Amino acid sequence: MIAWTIFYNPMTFSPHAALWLVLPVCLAVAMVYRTLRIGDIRQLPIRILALWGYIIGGLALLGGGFWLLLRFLL
Amino acid sequence: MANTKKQSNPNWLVAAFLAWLVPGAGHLYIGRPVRGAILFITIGLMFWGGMAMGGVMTVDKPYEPWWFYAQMCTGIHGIVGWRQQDNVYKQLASDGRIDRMEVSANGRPTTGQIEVDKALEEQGIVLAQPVAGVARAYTGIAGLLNLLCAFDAMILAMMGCGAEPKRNRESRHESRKEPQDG
Repeated sequence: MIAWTIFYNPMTFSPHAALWLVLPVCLAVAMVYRTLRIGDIRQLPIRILALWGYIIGGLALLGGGFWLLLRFLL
Repeated sequence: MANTKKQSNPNWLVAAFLAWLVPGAGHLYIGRPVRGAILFITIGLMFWGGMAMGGVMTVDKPYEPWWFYAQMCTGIHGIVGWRQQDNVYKQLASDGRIDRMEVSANGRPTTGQIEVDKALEEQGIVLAQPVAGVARAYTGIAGLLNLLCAFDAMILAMMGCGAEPKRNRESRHESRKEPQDG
């Protein structure tokens, strides 16, 4: 049994669990993009949340669309 | 109101280099410390989150060169990750587990990939799917986001836009209060 060390040994998780890890990536993209683009820094949190919502919503719609395509048309 | 001070413009080369080396440092240099801090924390967390998931083999120059180039865009983070991974190959080579090719086009060990994977598996550090994909995506996207930040810092320095822009609401109030002088 090898002891697990952070930043040295890899973690293990299922492919289904990996799907949820798209949320932090989208949040990071929204944070960086909005931080660079926004004029008034006080509006940053709400604009980040809005962009995060748009990205997640867009991905969900895209995924749903492809699922419907595979389920009923192909 | 024309009491603007004449300030020296930040050097765009220095801004780009600092932004690459330490995420957020470019924005700090051009006079946007809040944005610099946010970028430093976001990109750092994303890179080291990926490293925590994938372990030491997340940055893998010999076998994942495209991800490696993206990871190197995180500057100091990527360099630390690369050094750690390189030390693993050096250790395996010094133990005689793999034949390390020091001078070659791609730097891969001359030992076959199956043997290399076997040696890494014995160490408990071999990286397999789906963790490999997620960890490399986190670190690689962190690098690409830092590239965007470096480009932004460079352009702002070139344009001479140093400090934070005036807040929209304040400037709107000011323009309402100010009488129209013809």
